[in-house]
Amino acid sequence: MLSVIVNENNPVSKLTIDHIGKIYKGEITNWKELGGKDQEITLYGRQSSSGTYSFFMEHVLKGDYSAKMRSMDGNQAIINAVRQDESAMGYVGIGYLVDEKGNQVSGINILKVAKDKDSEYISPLNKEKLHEYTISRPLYQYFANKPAKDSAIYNFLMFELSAQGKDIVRKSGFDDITTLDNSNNEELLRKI
Amino acid sequence: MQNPRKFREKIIERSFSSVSAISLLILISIFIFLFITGIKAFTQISLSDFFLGNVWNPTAYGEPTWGILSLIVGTLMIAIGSLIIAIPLGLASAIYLSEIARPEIREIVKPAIEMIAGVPSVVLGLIGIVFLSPLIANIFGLSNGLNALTSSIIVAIMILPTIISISEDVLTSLPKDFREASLALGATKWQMIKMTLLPAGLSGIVAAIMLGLGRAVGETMAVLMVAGNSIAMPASFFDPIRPMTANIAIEINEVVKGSLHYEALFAIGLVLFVMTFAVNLISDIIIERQVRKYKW
Amino acid sequence: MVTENIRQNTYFILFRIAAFLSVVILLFVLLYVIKEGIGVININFLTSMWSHRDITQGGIFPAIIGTILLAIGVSIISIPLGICTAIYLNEYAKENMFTRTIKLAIRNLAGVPSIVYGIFGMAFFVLFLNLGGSLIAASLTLGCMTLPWIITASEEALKSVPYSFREGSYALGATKWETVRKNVLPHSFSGMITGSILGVSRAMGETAPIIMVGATFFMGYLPTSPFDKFMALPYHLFILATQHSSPSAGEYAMGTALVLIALIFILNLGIFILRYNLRKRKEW
Repeated sequence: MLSVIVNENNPVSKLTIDHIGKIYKGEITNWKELGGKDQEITLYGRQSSSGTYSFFMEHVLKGDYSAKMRSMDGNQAIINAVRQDESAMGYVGIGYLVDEKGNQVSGINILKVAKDKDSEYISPLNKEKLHEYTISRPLYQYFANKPAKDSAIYNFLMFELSAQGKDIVRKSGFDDITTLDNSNNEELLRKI
Repeated sequence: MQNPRKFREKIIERSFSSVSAISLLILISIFIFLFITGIKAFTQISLSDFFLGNVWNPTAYGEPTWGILSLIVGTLMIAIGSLIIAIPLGLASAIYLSEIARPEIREIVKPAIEMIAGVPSVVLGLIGIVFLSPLIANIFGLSNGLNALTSSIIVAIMILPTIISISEDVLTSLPKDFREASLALGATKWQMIKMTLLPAGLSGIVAAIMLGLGRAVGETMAVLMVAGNSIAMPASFFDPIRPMTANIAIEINEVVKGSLHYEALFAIGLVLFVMTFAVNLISDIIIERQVRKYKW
Repeated sequence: MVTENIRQNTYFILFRIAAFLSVVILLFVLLYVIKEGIGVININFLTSMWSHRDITQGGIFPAIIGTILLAIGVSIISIPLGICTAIYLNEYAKENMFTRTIKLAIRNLAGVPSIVYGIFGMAFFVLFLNLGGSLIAASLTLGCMTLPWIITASEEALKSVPYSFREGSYALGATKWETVRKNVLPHSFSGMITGSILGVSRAMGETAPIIMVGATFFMGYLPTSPFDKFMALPYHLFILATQHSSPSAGEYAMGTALVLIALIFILNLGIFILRYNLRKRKEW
């Protein structure tokens, strides 16, 4: 799941998906248009070969990024930049929002996002409303060939789907796969 | 017997010359591989779109655009910005080391400056991110310091040793007669430097500057970390820039091999190769003229 | 004349400031990295494997090993090549098109941007020769990049041998190779090796060429064959500085930078001292 972050001194704390899209397309350029300070918005995003970049573009912007957006080389680079820049806005995977001990990282505020003006504004860290948070995408694993039963790959897959594996996934900041995904996976694994 | 010895000598010489040819082979291979991959990009991108288009957007929402103009401008801004800083600083240091400093001081300062050349660019980039860019942001009241100015300063630091070292070599290798003749005519030391040495060593100094220019154009890691990397055409040195080197570095890792994006990145690499080749060629010609003028 | 003196003094003061400014910059860089990085340096940091989940538990030992292995690989590949090329250019080559072209090629190789070496290395060694991302692909790539520096350093060492040494040998009827082998090489060999090692030390700090040819941020094991991927200090530091999410990442980046700089500078210092001593022993 992707979160949208701003500097900790930024008063703006929630936005609709539409607003976020407009900001990243360059249609909204100043924080005061959103109830914040009179400061030009500095956009941080990923580089064009990044999956995050493409996903954010297709689901949130539904258009092209503003040419002024600064491409950073990774999630952490965006966090560092937003920390240092009061006018910044960036998007990062939620795994990067908490440190190893589970505390939220300092220096940034995480925006609550709503589907539209009348929906609820949800924070990506809200574990109960996880499935209603709008900016999320599934990650797939690909293999070159069908793994044989009891091969290292097969055992690794079983580990991933076990309770212990799922726990690690959750601790790394990713959301569980849905029940539909679970049944799809079981079908695929049965074919091995 | 003469013949086995001569034969052996010939073999040895041939072996050495073949080994030397490897350098040539490497250079040609680099060009070939850049060319065969990069040229494929132009089957789908027109030359004018590539060189004159100013939006680089390979994964656009609609049609991808492949204009590298803003990338070229980014590279040029760093080249110019870093030279503006490094030339006065470098030349002044070279003059000091060659003409003014006492030998003991020279023995310490010269190696010290050459040690800057030993600092890896990624370390300078790191210092740029954590120290220099917040500083620049503070001084100029910007929201952040990732821009052409910070990049120029970092690159200037990197090319300083090159400019100082070569200029100093040029000056010290000028014949003593030049100095003695000038001073004998009543010139002060500075007048001697300004009116005799600098004009005489001009070509060598220009060559040193061109080598620094080549390095500035080719610098990758340090600028990648502090340039801001936005594709918009910069309006001033306080704007973020995306030089060609940083663009390749930032996108090459996750690009699909063999795709048009991949080929376009190689095309940019080809442009970089040609640029640095041209700079080197010009500085070669200049050096040759300097050597011919003052055969010593 | 008085104004001329004033002008001269002003300029000279400015020049002195410029030169010392350059030294100050170097000192600042060193001291800054030391100050920010020394905190993480301890035996554990230098000798343990990298710990992915909690980086404060692990160390950069595999990155140090990787960098050293790369240095060895680059040396094996380019030092013999470079020295032979320097011998040819300085002792054998005549003033002809071939020689001029080789010299031009060497100067141009020195000017090629590091990222261009990286994509060349990827296209040629990793993909075309199918070596995969590996120590050997990276050593070959960095080797190409280091070759011009080694050739230049070796040429300087050869040039420093007075021509009279060669003349004396020829006068006694020796062939060219006998002259080179017995009269030139013994006196220049140490200079060539030390110059080459300086070149290799510069290669140790390069990041862009190794990103796409086998450098990894985290491997659970040390490389056991030349076809293995590897960790390396400059790439490790780059990722820690820009892409790692641990709150200690910044500090660890500085620590890694400190280790890298220390490695390079100790090598450089050692070579300088060695050269100073060797030069004192020479009688010309």
